[in-house]
Amino acid sequence: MTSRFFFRRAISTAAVAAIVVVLVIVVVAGVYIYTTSSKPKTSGPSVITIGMTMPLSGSLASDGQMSLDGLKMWAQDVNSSGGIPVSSLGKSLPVKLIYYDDGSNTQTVATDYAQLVTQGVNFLIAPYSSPLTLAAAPIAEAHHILLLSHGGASDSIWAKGYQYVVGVLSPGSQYMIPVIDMLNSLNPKPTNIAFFFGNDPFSLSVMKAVEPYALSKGFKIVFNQTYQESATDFTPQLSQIASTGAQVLIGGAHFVDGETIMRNLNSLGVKLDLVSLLVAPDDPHFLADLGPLANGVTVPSQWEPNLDFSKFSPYFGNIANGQQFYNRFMSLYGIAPNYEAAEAYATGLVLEKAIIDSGSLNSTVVRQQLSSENFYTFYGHFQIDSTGKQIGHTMVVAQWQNGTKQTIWPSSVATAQPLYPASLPSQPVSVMSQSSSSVFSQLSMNPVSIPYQQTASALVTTYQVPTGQSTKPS
Amino acid sequence: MALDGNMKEKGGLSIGNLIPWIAVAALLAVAPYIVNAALVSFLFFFLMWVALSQSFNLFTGLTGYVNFGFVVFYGLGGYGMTLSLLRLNLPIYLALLVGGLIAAAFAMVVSLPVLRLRGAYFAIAMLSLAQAVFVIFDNWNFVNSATGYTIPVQYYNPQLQYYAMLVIAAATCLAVYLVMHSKLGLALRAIKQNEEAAVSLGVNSTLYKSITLAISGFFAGLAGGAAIWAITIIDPPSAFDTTVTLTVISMTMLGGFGTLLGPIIGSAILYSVEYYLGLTYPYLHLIIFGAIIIGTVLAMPHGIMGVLREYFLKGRVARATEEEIKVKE
Amino acid sequence: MVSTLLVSQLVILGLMYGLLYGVLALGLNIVWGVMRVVNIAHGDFVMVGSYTSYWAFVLAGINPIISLLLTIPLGFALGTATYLSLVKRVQGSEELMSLFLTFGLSTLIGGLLLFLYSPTQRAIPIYLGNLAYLGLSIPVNILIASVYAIIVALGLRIFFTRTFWGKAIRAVIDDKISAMLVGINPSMVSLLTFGIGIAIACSVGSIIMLLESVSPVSGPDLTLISFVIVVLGGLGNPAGALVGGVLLGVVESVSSIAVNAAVTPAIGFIILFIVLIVRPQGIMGSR
Repeated sequence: MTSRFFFRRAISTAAVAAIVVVLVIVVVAGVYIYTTSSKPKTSGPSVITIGMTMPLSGSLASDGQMSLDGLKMWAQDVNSSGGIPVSSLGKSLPVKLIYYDDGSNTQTVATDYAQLVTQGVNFLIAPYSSPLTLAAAPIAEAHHILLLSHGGASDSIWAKGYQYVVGVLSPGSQYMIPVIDMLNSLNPKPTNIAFFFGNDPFSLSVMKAVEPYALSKGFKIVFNQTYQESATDFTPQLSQIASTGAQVLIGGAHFVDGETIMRNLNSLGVKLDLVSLLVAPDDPHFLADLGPLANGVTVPSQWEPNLDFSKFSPYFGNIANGQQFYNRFMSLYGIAPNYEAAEAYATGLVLEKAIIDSGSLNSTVVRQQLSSENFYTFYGHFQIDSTGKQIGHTMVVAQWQNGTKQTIWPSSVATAQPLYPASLPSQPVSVMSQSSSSVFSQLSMNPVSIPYQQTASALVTTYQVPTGQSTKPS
Repeated sequence: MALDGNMKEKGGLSIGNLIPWIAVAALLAVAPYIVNAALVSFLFFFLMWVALSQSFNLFTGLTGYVNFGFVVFYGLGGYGMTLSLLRLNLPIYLALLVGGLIAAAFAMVVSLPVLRLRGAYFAIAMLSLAQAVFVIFDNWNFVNSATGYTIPVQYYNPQLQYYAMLVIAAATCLAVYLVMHSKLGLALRAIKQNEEAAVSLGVNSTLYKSITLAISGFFAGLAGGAAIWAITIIDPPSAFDTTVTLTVISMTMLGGFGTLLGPIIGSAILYSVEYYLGLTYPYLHLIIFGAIIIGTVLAMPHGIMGVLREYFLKGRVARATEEEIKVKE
Repeated sequence: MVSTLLVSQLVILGLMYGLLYGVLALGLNIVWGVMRVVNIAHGDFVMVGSYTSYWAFVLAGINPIISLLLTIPLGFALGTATYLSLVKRVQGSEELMSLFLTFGLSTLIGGLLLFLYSPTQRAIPIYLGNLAYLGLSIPVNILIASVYAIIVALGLRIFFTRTFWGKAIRAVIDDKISAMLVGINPSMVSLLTFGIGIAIACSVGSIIMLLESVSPVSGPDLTLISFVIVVLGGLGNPAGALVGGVLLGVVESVSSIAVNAAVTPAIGFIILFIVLIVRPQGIMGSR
């Protein structure tokens, strides 16, 4: 016997051992998944399960956390008031949220939603953001389970022919339309606008809609570029914007880039009459991070705490108005809610209403019910078109004014006049000695005030137009 | 050294060696009929990682050149599949093939300039290439720029997707086996040990490396196409995500470079760990990944396969020596 | 029309930002040049510096410039500890082993930062305004960053030319065997180099807090851009790092006239790719 023979045998033994290792791992993982995902075999459902993933890590983590907190608060409110009455079962059932972290990753969304549907969830809620919602949609569609979108705004979600995907928020094409209307109402009216948007599906769908709308209102677009969101310096582009004589900057994408634009404007000393950015200024961290630089920045918003829809009928939910939502959220999580939290909570309310009205836990029935729903919550109007796209809800424009976020448009619900020209950014300021935590505590002590407890009637009559393009102020 | 292990799988295609392979393949083939959708989805992505790390292994494991831009093949395969499905209305299997071929063609073209570089320079050139391709796709209207595409829902079929990925993963493993046992494999081993010497002996080093990179790109492109088919959405940030490269490196490293089984073991361990931790503790899997890689480099540079081999080899040789001594007595 | 004023503004911005790029890559450059260790975790060490400065500011109100006094020794300590516990064991084996090791380290540091500080982006609310001169606008924070880059470069130059260990490091870069023959302890040189490299990386983290918000996942992006600069400037040449940085900064800035901002990040990679193919030793390097 040569040692070569043994060598051979040794190799094949190693190969067998390795295969065994793989088998053991796969089997153990399989058993784990099987046991966690097998359906409960009870006679009747004792709980309404609602499945979702949220980006709790990765690039969208802060938005995902805000949305999840909104939904958790809804579940808590529902369960403390005895659950949702389901007439076909003759009893009220509590709700149970099953959520996983998708790491802002489409592949994880695909596996986790497959996991959720086998766990026998009754309904699905989409993750935050358009790409992640798009990754979850076909799984919901294939298993005929209702998927409610609260943070996926791209219009393309409702252009795919999905039957089970319903949007609760206004789609991306609507975002900047009211900003243009607001600018159009100013006297003297600005003429030169610079567009500087992020290069991502959501921002692109916003830009695609606002560009022709701004032109149709007689504005001149003097600068029009997109940027990569991960960029850390925009000073060359902002220098060019300054040199074009732009009065207004419209753009943005998400949080960090919005802050970077404001920082760079300040460090260059570029003066603009108004800046309107997507998403970022709505977040309370915007004020905490930027302090006085935030002053005058406007943001198109899905919801603001001062909006009060309680006079509308039918009005649904145990949240009486925006201010109450704000206070509840604040006391529960110690942080001011942005509109992401509100739209997530409202998504829960929409589901709750459709279950009560249809009396069923069957997704197909509930989806049909949603088509005929037409009601208000603290978040605003709910009505969808045949594709599931939201057409009832309307957007407002908010502006930071002296550390307070005011609603400035439409004027019927405004809590303050637009600050224009806002001379953005403000003079070079140094808050060297002030720590950010103290800025933040200052913010928490001054919650968004509500000078006028205005009704939203004018808002609705003005904006209740199915398509964004034809929206006009009265 | 990890990349120095001259690890040609010995033993040939005897019945004994084939039995475990056949068992695993049979188990995986009947899986969709006995397990639920969640497990099928888990197995699908496990097979995707097997195919990806195996095709990464094919080039890097055999030549010793670390392809830090590997994800570009995955992304191009995904885009190739999507575009030929949506624009040319090709049937899905043909579309997958087109995706693989586009990735392979890209590999062939870039290999000519890039393969002149050695060591870390090659790694950085591939990395920058992948990043450049990402930015170009992100701005290129022909591929719908940053918005990307979604695969229409009528193509969504988890079972078909699963079998496609199973075939791709099996084909990738087979390709690695065949390359290892061919003249090409021999030439690659010569290049890896001493490129100058191999060239001076008449080995056409650039040609062999180019072909291998193209084969690697082909299978990675196939796997990318099948993955996008299942994920149903493709956009540049997810198609050219550097994390894919990093995960594939970790998997291959953990299992053992240049071995047929290493990438499979690595995929099984790391994907299970990631799946479990991702469902339960966010962030923790990154810490564990990092620790596993550092531990592997320091403790077992040949990966798990290296450790197994050494263990069994030692045992066998020791026993054989004992027996020989006994016989002599 | 593109005015000369705008072009000069862009050149100045590019120049200043380029110097920051240069000092960002400096640590990576000397570590790679001296030790032949490719430090993938470079950007993550920068993040450690950024987070240290951030917390120093939040908890004690310390200005990031003053927290340099904190991050430089911290970086040196981290660097030497990392060298002794990890890097030393793979040094001398293939370059690729150090690549894998530091890749694992990068994943580990990124994961730890995420675990400890959550993915929320952090920024320090300090705004220094700008200096206006002849219609040009010079942001003070970028000016501070570029001045810091020059100070570090000059400091390194003095260290390399005037001190024993500095000369020893240069000797090792030139010819390791001969350096050992004249009695230079190469592992001491490596320890020192890694310590200095990481100290510079961490200190740049402090400076970055004056300019932008950071998150735990920013590290790999910084590593990538540092690679571009190192290869552009040439390996093991501290002056080359600054030249590479300035070149990239100016090209990125001026090209913004013609190119959509979303395309800008590709410019660096395309330049790098071409340089690698045409002149792998870099612009300032010698074979």
